[in-house]
Order: sequence, then structure tokens, then C-alpha cells
Amino acid sequence: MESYKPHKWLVAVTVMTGTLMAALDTSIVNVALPHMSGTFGASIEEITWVSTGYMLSQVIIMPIIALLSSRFGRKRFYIFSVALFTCFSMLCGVAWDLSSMVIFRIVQGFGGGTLIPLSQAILRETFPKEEQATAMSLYGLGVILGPAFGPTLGGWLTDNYSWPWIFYINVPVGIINILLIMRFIDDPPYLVREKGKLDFTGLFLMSVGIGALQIMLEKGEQKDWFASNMIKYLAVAAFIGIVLFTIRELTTDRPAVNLRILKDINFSLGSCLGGVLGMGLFSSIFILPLFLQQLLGYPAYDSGLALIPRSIAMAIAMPIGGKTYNKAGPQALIALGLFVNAVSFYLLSRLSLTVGYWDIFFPQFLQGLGFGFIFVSLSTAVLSTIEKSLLTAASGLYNVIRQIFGSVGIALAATFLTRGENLYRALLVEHVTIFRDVVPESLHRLLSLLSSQGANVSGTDLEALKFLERMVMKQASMLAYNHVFFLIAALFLLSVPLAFLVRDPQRGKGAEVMREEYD
Amino acid sequence: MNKYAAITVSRQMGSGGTYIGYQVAKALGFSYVDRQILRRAASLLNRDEVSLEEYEEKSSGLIQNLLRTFLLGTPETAYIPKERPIYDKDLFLLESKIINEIVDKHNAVIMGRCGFCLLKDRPKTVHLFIYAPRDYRTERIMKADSTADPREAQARIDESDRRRTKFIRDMVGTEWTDARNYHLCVDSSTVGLSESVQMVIGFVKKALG
Repeated sequence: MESYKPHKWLVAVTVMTGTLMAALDTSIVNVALPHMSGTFGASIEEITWVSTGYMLSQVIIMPIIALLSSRFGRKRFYIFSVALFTCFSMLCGVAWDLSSMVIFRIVQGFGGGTLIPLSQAILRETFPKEEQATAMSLYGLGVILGPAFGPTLGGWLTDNYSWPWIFYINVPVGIINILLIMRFIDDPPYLVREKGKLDFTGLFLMSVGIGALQIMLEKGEQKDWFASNMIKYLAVAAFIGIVLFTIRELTTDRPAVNLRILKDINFSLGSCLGGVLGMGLFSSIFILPLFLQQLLGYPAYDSGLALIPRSIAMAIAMPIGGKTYNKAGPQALIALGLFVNAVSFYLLSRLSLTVGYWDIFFPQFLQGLGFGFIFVSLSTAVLSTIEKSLLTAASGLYNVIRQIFGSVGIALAATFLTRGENLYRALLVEHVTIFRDVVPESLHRLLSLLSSQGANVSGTDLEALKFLERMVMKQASMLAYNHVFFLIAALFLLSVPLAFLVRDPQRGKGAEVMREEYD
Repeated sequence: MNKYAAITVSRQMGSGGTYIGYQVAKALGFSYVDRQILRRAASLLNRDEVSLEEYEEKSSGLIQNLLRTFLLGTPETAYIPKERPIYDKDLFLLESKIINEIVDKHNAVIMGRCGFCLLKDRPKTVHLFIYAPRDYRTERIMKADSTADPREAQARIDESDRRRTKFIRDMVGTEWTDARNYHLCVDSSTVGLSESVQMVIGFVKKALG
């Protein structure tokens, strides 16, 4: 059934606003992380929680959106979600320490996670059949603009105002959105209020398991891994949480996340590759702004601009992938995407401290092509072997896996980065001794430079050593970033063979008709 | 050697072509095939029939096709919908296969969907085009929709004509209203629907032998 409202375009604007806000907040934060890190005195591993907290809360809320929406009424639930998102956006802006920021981001994610699926459902009901394609096109535009311009907008706000403004900007938009929802959106009369049970136990166990895993990955390097009791406890908690969650979801009647679908080999394989995609994508989204700002000295806005080539390339690759899917097949497209990504990350692993914009542009562009090809073909193929009644649950599970692997990818990237910095610093420092001619010469040059700049003679030795230390540290960081990019490249390359096992039986399907259908 | 006969019916909205096609099928004992094609396509694509209908007999523009892909979202978005994007050409090709399978196994009347072009050179096949003046069609649509406003009906007719013309031109590269595509073109307003049905039946019987 459909409800056609004369103000359907106002409904479209309303839900698009919500969609854009939620989509923006996934990427707008990343360019501001170095600034937040400075404000809160947080390490790279600690600041990951600003991203991963948001992602994981979306993972938790997503399986129960449909049930909550039908239980409380879609309109009411939508308003509540926007209000939650908006209020906690403001709180994120006034967060006083990392803990408060992370808590506010998690709750913000609960609100944000509902906006995109609800927006799509509302659009489908508002527009008549013959205008659905147009409505969905608008929706698609909103969804792609968010991540495309989020980093640039975030960078501009951070540079020209300060990082809290990337959250404050949601407040007036959210308030207007709520007013528009109240005025123009109604629940369709045929919407059935379901009183089904929510699988809170499953969600709790998932939160415990994944949460403990994330904390373990974040703290591991700092605590020297299993030398620390805290890490051991977290590992046990993560293991038990995940195992109990798995048992729960496989045995309960109405699981929050239907793990039984993983019996489908094609789906499991596709979800694995989805996990690889998530790990590679989110870890690069996280560390690239750090690299650009902290090592190359890019302002936040410029680091946001540097990410645009990827979005543009993705916008090109996705339609090409979609159109050629039936001819080329998922295996070729996914394998191509994985290989192209491997090349792009390999190029990033060859960067140095003297790179220019185009050295960043080209790998980013390649990345966009790679992600575009993988994403469209994988999202199509992974659900192709699932029966229609399980499609919603399967799509939800695929999203959950992607997001969880993405947040694990961020944590791992931060851990390897810190570990790499320490390791490479130790290696480099071994070569910085007075017994190597180049070292005293460099120190002498530095001393002369500092003196010529008017520095106090008595303090120049120390200043020169500090300068040398900073150079070594910077070089160590560069090598650490190279190392992380190389690992991501290897991950993609090693995943290429898996692409050839993915299939889509619906592709180019024959049209066998049963005789009796037409008698 | 084709064992079965086929009749394709292309029609303008409001001309009564659907009625004529159905009556001809009934009179000749042929299968009347219209919605079943979409239903079959939906089943093969594991999609909802209603959601697939928006793509049928349509040729979207470049921007619309582009934006259709973005329905999936982006890799960064947490939510990816369960439905894969459907492209007009892919649906058209699938429905073409379905039509070919049907006529290989049944005597059938195929409604629309570029049937006249898909089965162009097929023996034991007759291609019909049912049309009528705009005013006549407007009146029929107004009656069917129980509307008093002729502009609404005319807008629907014009939109339908425009859409079908574009669809056929883009998919098979020919003009929908070119008489050379058909064995028989009938202006249903001239003698009315019942007489048109009889005329068509007579013609088809002679043509198919």
C-alpha cells in the first residue's frame, strides 16, 4: 500500500536532512581527531574510540530498528532518534574529557544508526510507484554526499572555528528536522504495532564481547599485551562474550542477529570479504588524516580535501561496477577491486616526508576505484543466495560484520602505528651515535643554524638534540605509517583468491518458465 | 520449427489494447501473458513484484541510473539495504528471455514489453498495434479513473506515450509507432472495441493459417 501526500517533496527534504546528518557524521570526525587528541591529551589508540564508539553503537541498534519502530510508531521513533542524535551531538561538542566524549558519541550513534534505514522506508511509502525511482535517486544522492564532503566540511570547521563545531552544526539542522518531521510525516495507517520480544540478552553479550575486544586492542600495546592482567581479563571477557553471543543467537527463537544465515557458504565468504573491505576502508579513513596533519603538517581542511579524490573515484566506479556486474560477474569485479586497493595501499606505503599533493591524490583515486568495484559487486553477490524471507536479516548481519571488522581495523591500525613508531625509533636511534660522522656534522649544522637564528648559546646543544630527536621521531612515524599501509595492502592482496569463490546464481539468470504458469 | 503461435500486442494507454488482447487470447484459446512476466522476473531476481514494477518498461536517464547505484549507500555507511539496484536494461533483457521461453512452450498473446521487436522474425507470429486519438483515450481514462478532470488524464496519457516511446527507442532502437513494425495497426476508436476484437481475430486466424 502507498500513501501519496501532496507535500511529498517536503517529506523528501525532511528525511534527506536526517540521512545527510547521519551519513556526514561517519566521516566528518576523522579529520578532527588529531585536534581532539590534543585537547583531551589522548593517544592515537585512545582517540580511536571517538570513531569506533559511534560505529559500534550503530551495530548494536541496527538489528532492532524494525522492532522498535513498529512497537513505538515510526514517526515517534524517528523523532526520538533525531532528538537523541542532536542532543548528544551538542554534548559531544562540550565534552570535557575523552571518557565523556566517547560516551556521548556512543549514544549519538544509537540515534544516527536509525536515521538512514528509516528515511528510506518513509520515502518508499510517501512516493507513488511511478516516482519511486526518482525518490530513491534523491536518497542515494544524500547517502553519497555525506561521506564525500564530510572530511572537507569537518576540516573547514575545525580550522576556522574549532573541532566542537563539527558537532554543534548538527544542532540547528536537527531541530529543524524535528519540526519538519512533526509537520509533514505521518505513520501509514496499515503499520502494524508489533509486540515482539527484543533479544536484549544477545545484544548485551555482543556489546560485552566486541567492547572487550576493542578495549583490549586499544590498550594492548600500552600494557605490553598479555604481560598485563587487565589485557588477560579483557581477552577472556571478549572470548566468553562472543562465544555466549554466538550460542545465544543460534539457539534463541528471535535472535537480534541471525547467525544461522552463516550456514550459507556464499554469504559467509562474502561477509568475510566485507570484513576485509571494512578493515581496510575504516583503518585508512582513520590514519590518513593523522598522517597528513601530524606528519606532513596539512591543516585539517587540506587533509579533508585530500580525501575527496577517493570519493570521486568511488562515485565513478560504483555505477560502472553496477552496470557491468551482469556481464563481468562478481568474481572479476571483486578481485579487480581488491587488487587495485592492494596497489593503492602499496603506493601509500612508499610515501616519504617530502611527498606532494599528487603523491597522495593518485593512491586515493585508485582506492576509490577499488572500493567502488568491491562494494557494489560484493553487496549484490553476498545476498544473492539468500532466500527472500531472510534477506532483511542477512543484510543486517552483513552490515554488522562490516562495521565490526571496520572498528577492529581502526583499533589494529592505531596499535600497529604506535608499535611501529616505538620499534622504528629504537632502530633509527641505534644509528644516531657520535661514532657516525654524519651525526656530529648534522649537530654542528643545527647548532650553527640555531645560533644564527638568535638562540641563547648556552641552550643550543639541548635544542639541537631535541631537534634531532624530533627528526628521528618523525622519520620513525613515517616508517610506521608505511608499515601499516603495507599491511593493509597485503590484506587486500591475500584476499584476492577468495573473490573467485564468491558467486551469484541470479546473475544472467535463465528464464525457465513452468508450463502450468501460463496455461 | 515453431510449434506454437504468438501474438504481440503493443498499445497506447487508453486505447483499449489490453482489453482487445485479452479477448483475442480468450477467443483463440491462447495464454494471455502480461503481469505474469513481471511476476516471473521478480521471482527470478528474488525481489518484490511491486518494487520491481517501477523499473518495468522504463528507460532511465544517465543521472537516474547513476543515482540508482548509490541506493546501496557507500562503503562507509552503516546501513546497506537488502535490495540490489536494478537497471532498466537488465530487467528488459530478463523479461525478453522470459517472453522467448513462454512462446517456445505456449500459444500466447504477449502484452507490450517490445514483444514486436523481440519476436520480429519469428514464424507463426503476428504483431499488433492498438492506438486511438488522444481525446478518445482521455475519455476512457477519465471513466476508468472516475475523474472529472481531463487534464489529469491527458497528463497520464502523455507521460505514458513519452515513456514508452523512449523505452522502445532506447532498448531496441526503433520507433514504437512505426507501422512497419506491425502486421496490423488498429484505431480502436473507429469501430469500437468489440468490433476491433472481431477484426483482429479474423486477421490473426488468416495470418496464422
